[in-house]
Amino acid sequence: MQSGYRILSIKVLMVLLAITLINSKLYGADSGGQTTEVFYSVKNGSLIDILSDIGKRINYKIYYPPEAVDDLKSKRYTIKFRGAEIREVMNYLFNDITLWTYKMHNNEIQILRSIPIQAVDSLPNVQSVFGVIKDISGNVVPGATVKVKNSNKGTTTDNEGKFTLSNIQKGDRLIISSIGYQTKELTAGNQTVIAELNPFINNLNETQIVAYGSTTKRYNTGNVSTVKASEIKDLPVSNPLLALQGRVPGLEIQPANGLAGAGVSIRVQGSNSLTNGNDPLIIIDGIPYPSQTIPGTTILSNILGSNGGAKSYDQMGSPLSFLNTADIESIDILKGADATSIYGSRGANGAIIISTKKGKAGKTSVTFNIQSGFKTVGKQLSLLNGSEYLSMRREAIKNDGGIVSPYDYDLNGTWDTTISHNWQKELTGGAAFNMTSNLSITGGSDNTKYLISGNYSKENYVYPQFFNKTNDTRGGVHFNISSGSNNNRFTIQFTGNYMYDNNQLPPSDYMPLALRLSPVAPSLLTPDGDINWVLNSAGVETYGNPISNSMKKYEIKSTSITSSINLSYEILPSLKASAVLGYTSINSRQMLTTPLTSIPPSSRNFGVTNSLDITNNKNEYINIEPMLEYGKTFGESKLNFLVGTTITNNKSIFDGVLASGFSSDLLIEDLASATAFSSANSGNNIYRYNAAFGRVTYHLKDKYLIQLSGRRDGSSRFGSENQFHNFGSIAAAWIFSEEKFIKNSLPFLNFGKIRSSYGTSGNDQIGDYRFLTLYQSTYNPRPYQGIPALVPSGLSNPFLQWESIKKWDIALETGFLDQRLSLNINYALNRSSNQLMTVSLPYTTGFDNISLNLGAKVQNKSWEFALTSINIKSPRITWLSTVNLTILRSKLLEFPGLDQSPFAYKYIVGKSPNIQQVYKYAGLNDTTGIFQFYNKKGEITTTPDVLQDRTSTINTDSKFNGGFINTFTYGNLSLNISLSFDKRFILIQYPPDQPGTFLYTVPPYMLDRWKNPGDKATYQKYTASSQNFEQYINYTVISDQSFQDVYYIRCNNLTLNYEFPDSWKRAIGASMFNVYIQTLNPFIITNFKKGLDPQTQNSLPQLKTFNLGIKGTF
Amino acid sequence: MQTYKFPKSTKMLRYITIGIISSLLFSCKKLVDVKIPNNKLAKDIVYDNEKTAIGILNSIIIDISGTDIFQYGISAMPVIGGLSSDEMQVIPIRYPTLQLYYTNNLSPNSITSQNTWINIYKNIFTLNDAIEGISQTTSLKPVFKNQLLGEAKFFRAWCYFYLVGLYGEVALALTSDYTKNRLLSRSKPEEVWPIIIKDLKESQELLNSNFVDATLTSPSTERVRPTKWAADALLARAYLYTENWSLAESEASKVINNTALFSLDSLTDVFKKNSKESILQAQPTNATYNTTYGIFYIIPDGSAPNFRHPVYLSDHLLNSFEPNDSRKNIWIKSSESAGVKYYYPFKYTMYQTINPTDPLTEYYVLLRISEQYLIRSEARAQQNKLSLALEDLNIIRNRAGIGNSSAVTQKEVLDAILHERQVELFAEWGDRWLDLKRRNKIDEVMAIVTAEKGGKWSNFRKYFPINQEELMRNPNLKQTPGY
Repeated sequence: MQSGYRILSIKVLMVLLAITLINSKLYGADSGGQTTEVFYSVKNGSLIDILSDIGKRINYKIYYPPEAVDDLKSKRYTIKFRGAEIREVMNYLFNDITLWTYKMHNNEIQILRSIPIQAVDSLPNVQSVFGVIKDISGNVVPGATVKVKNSNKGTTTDNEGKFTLSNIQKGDRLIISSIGYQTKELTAGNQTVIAELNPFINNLNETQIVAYGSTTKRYNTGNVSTVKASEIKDLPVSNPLLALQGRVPGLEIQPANGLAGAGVSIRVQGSNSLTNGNDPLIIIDGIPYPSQTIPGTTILSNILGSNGGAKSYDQMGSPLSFLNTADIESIDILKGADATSIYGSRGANGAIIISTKKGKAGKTSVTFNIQSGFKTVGKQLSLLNGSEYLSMRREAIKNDGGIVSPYDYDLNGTWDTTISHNWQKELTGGAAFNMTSNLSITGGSDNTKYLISGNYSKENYVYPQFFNKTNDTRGGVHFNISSGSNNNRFTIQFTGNYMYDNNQLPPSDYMPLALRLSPVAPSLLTPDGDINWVLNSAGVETYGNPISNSMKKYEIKSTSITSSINLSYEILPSLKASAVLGYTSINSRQMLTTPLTSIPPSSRNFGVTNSLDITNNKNEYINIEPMLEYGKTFGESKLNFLVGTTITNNKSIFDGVLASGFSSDLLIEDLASATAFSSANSGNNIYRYNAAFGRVTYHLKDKYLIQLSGRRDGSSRFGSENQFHNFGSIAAAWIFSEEKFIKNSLPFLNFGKIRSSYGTSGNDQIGDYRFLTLYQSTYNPRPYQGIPALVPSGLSNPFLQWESIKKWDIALETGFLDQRLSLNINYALNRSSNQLMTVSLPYTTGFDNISLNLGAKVQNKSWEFALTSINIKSPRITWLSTVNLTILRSKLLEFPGLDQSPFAYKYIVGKSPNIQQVYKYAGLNDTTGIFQFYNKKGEITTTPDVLQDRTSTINTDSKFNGGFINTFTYGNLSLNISLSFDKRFILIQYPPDQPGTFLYTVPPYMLDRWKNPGDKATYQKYTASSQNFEQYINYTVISDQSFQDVYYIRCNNLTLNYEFPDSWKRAIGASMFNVYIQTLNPFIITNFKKGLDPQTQNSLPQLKTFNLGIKGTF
Repeated sequence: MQTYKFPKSTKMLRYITIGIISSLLFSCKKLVDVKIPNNKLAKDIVYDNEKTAIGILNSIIIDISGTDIFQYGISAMPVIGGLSSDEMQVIPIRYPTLQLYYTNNLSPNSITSQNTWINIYKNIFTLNDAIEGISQTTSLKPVFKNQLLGEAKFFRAWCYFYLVGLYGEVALALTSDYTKNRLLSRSKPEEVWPIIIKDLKESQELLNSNFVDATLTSPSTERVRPTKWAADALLARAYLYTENWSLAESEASKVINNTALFSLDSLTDVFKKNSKESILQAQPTNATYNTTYGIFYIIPDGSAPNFRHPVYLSDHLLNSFEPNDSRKNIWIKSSESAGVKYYYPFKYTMYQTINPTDPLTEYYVLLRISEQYLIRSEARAQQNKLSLALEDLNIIRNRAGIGNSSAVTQKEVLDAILHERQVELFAEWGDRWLDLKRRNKIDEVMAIVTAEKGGKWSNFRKYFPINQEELMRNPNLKQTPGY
C-alpha cells in the first residue's frame, strides 16, 4: 500500500508543478504599474499616431472608441519628450481637447468622452456598441461572450478584448460572460462599454453566505467554502450532497449505497462526538432542515442505509434527497469557530447553508434542461462457478468428516446443479432508465422579481428480473418572489420548495445476496413469475427462497416543503430590522405489503397471513428569527453590529400499524379490508430551542478585520438545571497584500490574507427526552385482561449537559497573478470535551446503555489545502483546475477512568477514537488448516480471548482525501472531469460466510485454501459445520488480517458539453442552447479488489450513469 | 451618505422592535420547556394510576408467557431446555443459535445466545422498578397495591428461579439503580434461593386467594393473575430445589388440598383456557392465533421440520414412554415426510389462523396441579414416606392410563418420579434440563446424548456462558467457570 501512497503523492505533485509552470510561463513577463518615462519626438503627427507610437514604446495598450478616431486624427502636434512621465505626456496631449479625455490604469490608457452622455433619451434608438472587456485587474479578456439579453445577438471579444455590436436598442441589457469569470450584466447606455469582469474562480468579491448574513471571500474572517450552482447544476444526483463529493476540503461525504434516497454521512472536519450525532447543522434559506429522518421511519426496511448517525439517531435514508439539485444557487460549508460559534449548541459539527435560486430582473426568460440515460452497476465481482462451488462444498463436508445430509440440497440430488446462475446478472445486472427535467421562468422589474421552476425526474432500479416496477419518481416546484418598496427601505422575499417523491423500492438490497448466493441454487422464480419454493410431493417448500420478499411491495411516498419569508426594513440609514420566518415540513408514508405469495406455502395456515405495514411520519420545523443590524462607516473604519434571537420548534410525529388477515392479496393495500391489527407504534417528540445571539464586525482600512460573536441558547433536550449555556468566538484577519511594502516587494501577489479564529460551540444531537424516565405501551392486539401493557423505555439521567467544543483555526489565503492562481491553506484544531456518551451498561441494569457526560476529550486536527488555477486561457482554449486536499488526524486526548469503563475495549488514549482493537493474525496452522492469532503474551493460539488478546490496533481514519476538478474548453466544447480520492484502512466485509457453507459461494481468490497438512495457504480449510465457522466469524473478522489499506480515485463525473454556435441559436430564437453527455462514476482506480466498491463494499454501489442532456434558454 | 427624514411612526416602530427582541431574550426558559410525548408516561404518573400500574405487570406476564420463541427469553425455556437436554432436536440449517443449544456448544462469543440473559434482566429491571414505584405510591388503594406488589415479587422470584437454573451463579439485581446494577458480581445459588423464597413468602401474604379480574378486586373465572396459590406452588418448587423436603411437601399440600379451585383434568383439557388443573395461566395476546407454542411446534402434515417449525421431539423422549401411556398419543403427534416421521409436542393443539374476534380456546399454562403432585411425591419420598409418595405418583400415572408404579425402594421411587416428570412435563418450561441438574443425572445422561447430537459434553456446560460483551461492560462480572 505504501507504493500506492507514493504514486498518488507523485501524481498530485506533478499536477501542481505543471500548473505552476504553465502559469509562470504565461505571466512571468507581466510587471506592475511603475512610473514610465517617455522618450519621443514627432513633427506634425496626428494624435492617434502619437498615442499608438508611445504605446508601443512603453508597452502600453491604448483603447479608443471608433467614433473618437476622426477627432484623434484631426488633432496634430509637433513635440519632443525627453524622459517625461507618461502622465505628464498625456496631460499635455489632452490639455486642449474638450470632447475626449483619458483614463490610465496600470499599463493601459483608455480614451473616453470627457462629458458622459447624460440621458439615455438622447441616444438614438438604434446604435452600435463598442466595448472592451477586462478583468478587475485591468487585463483584457479575449474570447469573452457578449450577448444581448433575450435575443440571439451576440459576439465574442478579440485578442485585445474588444468587441463591436451593431443594431442595439437603447436600454438593451448586455450579458458578458467568459470561462473563469463571473457573468456580468449591464445596460447598453453608452456607446462605449468598458466592463470589468470578476474572476470566477476564487473570486475575492464573490458572495459567501455565512450565519445570519453574507460576506465576501476577501473580508471573511472564518473558514467557509462555497460551491456555486454552476459547479453542480447538471448532475443527475438524487441527493445534492452527493454533488459535493471531493469538492470541499474538510468535508467528507459517504453514501450508504447507490439507491435513490440512500443515507449519506456528512462530516465536517471529522467527528467530534464519540457516541452522539456528528451531523452538521443544515440550513435551507435560513431555516433549519433535518439531517436525519425521524425515528420510526425505519421499522419497515433498512434498504436505504444509514446516515452514519449515532445510535439513537441512526435512521435510514437522507432527508436531503427531497431537495432538487437544480434549484440550488449555492451551498456554503461553514467550518471553523468564527463561522459556527454563532450557532451555539448546534454549531459543533459545522454548518451547511443551502440557498435556493432567486428571481432576476429583466425580460421573462424560460430555461429548460432535460437529460436521460441509463444507470448500471457497471462491474461484476468474480465468483466461483457451479462446479467450483460444488467441489468446495464436497471438500468442506470431507474436511468436517461428515456426510451429505438430507438438508444439503446442493449435493444430495435435490437440486438440478447442472445450471450455473450468474446472480449478479440476474439480480442486479439491469440497465436502469433515468430522466430528469427542469423548467424555470424568471423575470421581473427591479422592484419585483420572480422565479418559478418545476422539475420532474424518474429513476428505475437495476434489479431487472423481479422489480421492473421499482422506481423513484419525483416532482417538485420551487419559487421565489421578492419585492421592495420604491425607496428600497422595505423588502420582502418569499421562497418555497415543494418536492413529491414516490420511491417504489424493493424490500431489500439484492446486491449482498447476488454476491453470496450459490450459483447452483434453484431459479428464484418459476416460469410464471411466482416464487420458486421447490415444493415436494406434499406441497411443502424445500427451499427458503431468499428473494421471497420480492413479492412484497415497499413504497415510500414523501412530500417536503420548505418555505421562508424574509422581511427587512431600514429603520435608519444605518439600522435595519429584519426577520426570517420559516416553516419546513417533511411528511412521508411508508407501506410494506406482505402478500400470501411471499409466505412459504406451509406457513400460510399457521397464523401467518398476508399483512400490510404502514408508517406515517411528519417532521415539522417552525423557525422565527428577528434580527437588528447596525452598520456604519467612520472614516477608514467600518462597524457592523448584529443582534437577534431564534425560536425553533421541531415536532416529529410517527405512527404505524400492522394490519393482517386480508381475504385476498388484491385488497392488501386497503386497511379497511384487514381483519386484524396486530401491532402498532407511535411516537411524538418535541424539540424546542431558543437563543439570543450577537455579532460585532470591525474593519479598519479594509486591511485589519476583527469579528466577535456570541450566543446564549437553551435546548429542551437537557434537564432543567443544565438547559442554558453561552458560546462565543473571536476572529481576526489581516489582508497583508494591501500593505504598501508587500505590494512593492511581491508584485505577483495580488491577494494575501492571514486569518485566525477561536471559539466555542456545543452539540445537542443526543435525542429527545433522554433525561426523563419514560414508559411506553407495547401493542398487543388482545390486551391482557383488556389493559394495555407498559414498559420502561430506558434509563434516565437528569443531569445531562452540553457536549462542548473549542475550535481554533489559522489560515493563509493567497491569490497570485491577478487571481489566476490561488492557494488557501487552513489549519484547524478542534477539541471536544464533556463528551455525552451513550455509556454501554451490562444488561443486569435492565438496558444496555445510559447517557452520561464523561470527561473524555477528542481532538481533530486538520489541514485543508485548496488550489485553483487557470492553466490556459486563450480565446479558444481554456483549462481550469482546482485541487483540494484534507489531512485530518483524530486523537482521544484524555479519558479519565477509561480503564474501569466499558470503553476500555474500544478506545486508547493517545490514539484515534476510530481505531479498532483487533487480534494479531499469526498465519494459518498448516497442520489443522485453521487461522491462528497471537495472544497478549505473543504465543500462538486459535482461540484468542476477546478481552485480553486484541493487541493490534488499526486506525480506520482517512489518511488523506480530496478532489481534483478540471474544466477544459475548446471553442464551443467543454469538458469537466471531477475526481475524488481517499486513502484509509477498511474492514473487508466480504465474504460474510466461511467458504463451504451451504447455499453461499465465495470469490475465486478463496480457492487458495488449506487442503492437506503442510499446505501453505491464505485461507483456512473449507468447512460446512459450525465449529470452524466460529473461528471465521468470531476471530478472523476482528483480526488485522481482515483490514486492508485501501486507496481509491473515483471519477465522480465527466461531462462533455457542446454549446451551439450563435448562428444556430439565432435561428431557433434561443439565447443559450447546449447539448451534453453526462457520466457519473465512470471509473474508479483502486487497490481494493475484494468487493465491488471500497465505499459501499457489498451494498449496491454508486451507479455508473450515462446520460444525454439538452438545455436551453429562450 | 444620504439622509432620510423619518416620520414619527418609524421611531415608534424602532422602539417596538427593540422591545420585542429584548423581551424575547428574557423569556428563553419557557420556550425550551417541553411536554412529555403523548405516547409515553413519566414514572410518577405510571404508578399512581391503576390501569398503568397494572400495565407494567401485564407486560411481564405477556413477556414471560409467550412472546416470540426467537427472543430466547423465559418464554423460550421449553425450547432452550428441550434442546439442551435429551428432549428435542432441531434441523441443521437456518438457526445457528438453536444449533448451539442443541449441541451444548454455547460459547461466550455466541451473540444471540445472550438473549436469554438480556430478556430476563430486562424483566427483573421492570419488576424492581415496579416494586419501588408501587411501594412508594400513596394514590393506590391498599388492596390494589398489595395484589400488584405481590405479583411483582412473585414474578421476580419466577425470573430468578430460571436464571439460577440456567446460569448457576447470577447477578442479584434487587433495585432499579443502574449505578449498583452495573457493578454486580455473581452470587452463588445459596445466596439467591433465600431471595426467591423471601419474595414468594411475601407474595403469599400480599396476593389474593381468589383469581381476580383487571380490577384486582373482583373474582374472575379467568386464571390469569397470580394468586397466593401460585406463590405456594412456586414456593413448593423452590423448597424442592433447595431440598427442604418437609416445607416442599407442606406448600404443595396447601395447593393440592384446595380442591375447590384445583383438580386434575382430562389430558385433552389440561391446556385449555381456564382448565381446572391450572394454578396460573397467561392469556395470549395475539390477534390471529392462540398460543405461539401451537404455531411453533406443530409441523404441517406431510412436511419435514422446516425453518418455521425447526424443532421436533427426540427419540429419547419418545422411547421413554411406557406402553399404553395415553400422553404419548394425546400430547404428541407426528408428520410424515419422505418416509420419516417427525414427532412434535401437541399439548397446545391450536395452530389455525383465527379471526381477531374469535374467542381463544387455549391459554399458556405457567403452573399446574399435576406438577404439585410430583413435587409432593418427591418430597415425601426423600423423607422416606414411600407409600404416600407412590400415592401421589400413581395419581398422575393413572390419569395417563397406566397402572401403578412398580417402584419399591426409595431410590426406585425417586427414579420413577424423575421419569414421570420427564413424560408428564415435557416441552414445558425446560423442566427436564433443570431436573437432570437438580438430580445430578446430568453428566450420566448428557455424556451419551450430547455425543449423539454431535457435540462433546463436559460438566461445566450445564450452565450457560455469559456473553463476552456483557463481561466487558462490567469488570466484576466473571464468566461461568469452564468457558
